[in-house]
Amino acid sequence: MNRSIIRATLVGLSVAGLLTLAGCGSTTTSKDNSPVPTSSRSMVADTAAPDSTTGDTSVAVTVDTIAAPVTSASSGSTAVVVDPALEQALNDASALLSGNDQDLTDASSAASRGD
Amino acid sequence: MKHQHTIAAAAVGLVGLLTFAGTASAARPAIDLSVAKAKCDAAVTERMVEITKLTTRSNAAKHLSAGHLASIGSTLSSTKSGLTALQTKLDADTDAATLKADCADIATGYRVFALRAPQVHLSIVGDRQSAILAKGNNAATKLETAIQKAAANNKDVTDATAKLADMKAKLADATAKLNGVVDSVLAVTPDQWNANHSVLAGSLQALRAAQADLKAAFADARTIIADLKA
Repeated sequence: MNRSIIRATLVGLSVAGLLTLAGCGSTTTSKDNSPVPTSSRSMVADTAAPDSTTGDTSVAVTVDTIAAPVTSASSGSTAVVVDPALEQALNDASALLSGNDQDLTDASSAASRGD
Repeated sequence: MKHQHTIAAAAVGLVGLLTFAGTASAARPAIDLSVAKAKCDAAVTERMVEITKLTTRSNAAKHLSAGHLASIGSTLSSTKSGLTALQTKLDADTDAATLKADCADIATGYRVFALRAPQVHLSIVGDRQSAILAKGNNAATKLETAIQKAAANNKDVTDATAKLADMKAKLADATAKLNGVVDSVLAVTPDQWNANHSVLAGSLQALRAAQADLKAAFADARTIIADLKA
């Protein structure tokens, strides 16, 4: 009888101990799984990030977006490297090509006489 | 066509005269060839005027090479002297058969309109295309440099690079089409034209294709510049 009571008491204590442990573990786990740390990193990456690269893909995209106006600004200097005389040469070539159209017409017109 | 009809009418008239002469009696008066001669003279004069125009035209064509200009000048000069001699001969003809043959020779012996005029115009076109081609190659070199500099400045040059490749391909095709075409055009003789009225067709087609290539190449160049400026 006494043994039975003792066993029941021990089992009860064990269960209570497990429950207590489970309660503590549950609280700890919930804190560890919180998304807050990740979210926090992301915020840092998006704001500070252009130069402090974290290897995060989203950061790289952000860098590209921010860099675009820089590329656009540099396109102003790109136009400078085009030889200014080049457009004049293209206009000259267009005039010559028009002259060729006329000569081709004249050649066909003369040939069509057949004599 | 009108001119062909004129010569044909003169020839038909001569045939009629010959028929008439063959059946006429010895007592008939000598055949009057003056009307037929006048038509033949007019045909010569028309060609002389055209030769003068062609000479002026070729001398004014600044892209015509010295060799081609000399060749054209020589051909037109010999055509002119040949027609002058022919006119002198036909004016002195006393029988209709000879006059008929001489009058027909104005067209068949010289082919001023059917051959010489196209030769001059096509030569001018070909040599002018060579000059345009040189400008195109020069432009392509400059554009390539501009694209490289733009790329170094982080500009997206994908489209410009593709257009430059197309431009170079068009210029290369035009170069191939133009190779020797003017010399080939100028080498054709009236006899060759008489034997094959399409003898210039291949050259004409090549020059038209080269013209299309050059237009496309320069359109590419304009697009590239616009891309680089954007």
